[in-house]
Amino acid sequence: MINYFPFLAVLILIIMGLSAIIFKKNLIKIIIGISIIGSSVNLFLISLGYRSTGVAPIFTNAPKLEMVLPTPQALTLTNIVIDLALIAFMLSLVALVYKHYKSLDIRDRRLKG
Amino acid sequence: MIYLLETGTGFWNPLLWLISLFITLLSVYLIRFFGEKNYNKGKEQTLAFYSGNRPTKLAIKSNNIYWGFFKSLDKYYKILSYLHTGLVNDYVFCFTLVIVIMLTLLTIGGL
Amino acid sequence: MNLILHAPILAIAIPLLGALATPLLSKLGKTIRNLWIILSLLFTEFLVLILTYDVISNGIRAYTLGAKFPTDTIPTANFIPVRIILGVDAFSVFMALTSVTIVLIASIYSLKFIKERTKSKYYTLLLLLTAAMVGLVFTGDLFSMFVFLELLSISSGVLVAFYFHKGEVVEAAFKYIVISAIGGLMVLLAIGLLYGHYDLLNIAALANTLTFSFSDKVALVLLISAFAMKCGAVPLHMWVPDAYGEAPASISAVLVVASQASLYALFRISFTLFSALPTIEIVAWSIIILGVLSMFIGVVMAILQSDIKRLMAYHAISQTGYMLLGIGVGLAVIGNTNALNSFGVTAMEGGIFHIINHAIYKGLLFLTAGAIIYRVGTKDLNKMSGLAHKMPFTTIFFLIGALAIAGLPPFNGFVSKLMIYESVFRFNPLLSIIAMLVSILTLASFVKVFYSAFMGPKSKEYNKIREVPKTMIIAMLVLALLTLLLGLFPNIVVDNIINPAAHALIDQLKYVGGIL
Repeated sequence: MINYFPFLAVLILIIMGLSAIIFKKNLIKIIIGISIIGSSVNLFLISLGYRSTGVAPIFTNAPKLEMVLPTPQALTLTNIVIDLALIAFMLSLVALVYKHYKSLDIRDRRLKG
Repeated sequence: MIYLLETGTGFWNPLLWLISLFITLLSVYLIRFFGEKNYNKGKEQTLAFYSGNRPTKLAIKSNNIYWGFFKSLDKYYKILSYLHTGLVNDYVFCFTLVIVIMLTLLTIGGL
Repeated sequence: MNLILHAPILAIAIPLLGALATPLLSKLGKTIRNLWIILSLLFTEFLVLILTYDVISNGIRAYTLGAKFPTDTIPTANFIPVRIILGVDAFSVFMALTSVTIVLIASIYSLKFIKERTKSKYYTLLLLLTAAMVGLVFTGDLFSMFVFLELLSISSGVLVAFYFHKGEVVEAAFKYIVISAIGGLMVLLAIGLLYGHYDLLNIAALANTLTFSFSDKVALVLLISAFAMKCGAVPLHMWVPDAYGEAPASISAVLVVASQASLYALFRISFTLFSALPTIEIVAWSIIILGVLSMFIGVVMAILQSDIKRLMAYHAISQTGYMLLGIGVGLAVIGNTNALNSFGVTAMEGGIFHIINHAIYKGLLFLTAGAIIYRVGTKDLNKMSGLAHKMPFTTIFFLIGALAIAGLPPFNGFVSKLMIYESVFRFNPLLSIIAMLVSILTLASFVKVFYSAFMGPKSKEYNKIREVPKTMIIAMLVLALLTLLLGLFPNIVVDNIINPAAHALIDQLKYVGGIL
């Protein structure tokens, strides 16, 4: 049962991130919500590859034990870089929105209908 | 042949359409040819009828076109405009709603 | 060097090289930069064309990155494919052909539309967008699809925010990038679920070994919702009028094909991976319901608008509904061979043909809207009137586009809509009747735009406007000619390109056998 704890944490983090995006009215808090969901997906990918008696997946001087899976680690690194670019872009857009609208509240939007 | 496109129950032949267009234009020309030839061009006889008023040079704004359509369907348009808020929170809420509905349908359907 | 053998990877690499070399070459002068951009896009178009000819005659083409010979998909030590494999079949090469053509025409249009001091940045981003679109449709494994999807969202997000000195544009770009970020993260979650169960990321290998457990169904639902959100299906459509309405006009035309790339991903997943699912009818009916809702709500909200680009964006939602309806009907009858042969294949052909038709006439309409905004300076329909006196070419091109989108012969919209109406009628008559009603309302809303913007007496403020520059007219003329040609001679495209594409989607075993 203790093996399923990371996946439970992933589920709780996704629910927290989605509720931050759905219920919060400040633009910065929406971006924090997206960052939380990004971290939870990274946690999910890493914990897919975990083996409880595993060592690092490096072949040089490896002990004769089972290795953890290396492919999800590659996927996670790519995802970290992509999330970095997305959040940097979103933060620069929020800075421009503040310059034009003078407020960070999402209820002051002008495009509707 | 290169001109015929067949769906299961019908077909579209652009050659036949062009021939029918030509016949239609020909008949329009013939009807106009047999019409009244002497009439005063440009005078009162050829202007549009504005219920006795002078013809105006007013352009109708785009909010006022289809006035009757919007007035009669006003109730439904109010509901639709209320749903189309501009908030990004509502966009993500609809996304989770669609995921939840489809997931319940697939689980119930698979039983 | 054997060009056809390496064409899949070159078609992704050449726009990428073009994008990264453009800021350097712009230091050498305007003409060299413009020449470099047009040449790289022309070369990509040439590669996609020879690849089309090869795939239609010889079947699917696989390309392995990093192997000794590009066709060794399975390494000899293992028995599962471990490298990144590009799998090009008829549907992929059809989507690549429409994307690169529309981007080429939009970049010729932007030679005069975009101001000179921001042109290098614009063209860099546009070429990155092309590389991402071609990569998305050519790739054969799920994780590359995610990477190219994120590259597509980021570069198109920056292009939407191009006029960042206006407040509304930045707000629209923020909404677009939040939606794309959440969609991409849900796609990655689904890919992680599938990987954790089967230890495979390749689409062909997954199609072989998929047993439909509960986690696979969760992955399917997440993937379908995320890709439907990226293409603009109702009720996930609300970012579309904001993003398409505030972007520069040539970028709105390119955003149409970018959304259709996610439509490609949606259909690739439902047909190639999951077509043997026992409850595939529920998935197919949900795609059909999404399609019908999109058609109806899209056009009903479109008549209401008074901003010309927002109106056309709502019509883009409505036409996406036609594609979802046609191909959803094909998915619903995929188990039933009788129905599939009598009307299922025609419905899928109609939906797939509508993809290229929509890209052409919607691109034409957005480019004419851009021409109006370039000269008049405002987007509001209430302020314009009587433009036909001064801009005759734009009027004719707008008229051709409006008649094509309403589905009137002899333009290409009529042909694909005819195929969708007749085959969907044999599946369920009510859906076909709703589709025809939507077509009438489409014509009504474009009559509204034509009457208020172009007809009527000349307005006093806009006395000094002239016709738009020649490169913009040439770009619109090419699209208008394509509209007319595809409507008058549809057989050249339908029998040779669309029919293999529809069969490539239906035949799951041919895809698997061609790659593995």
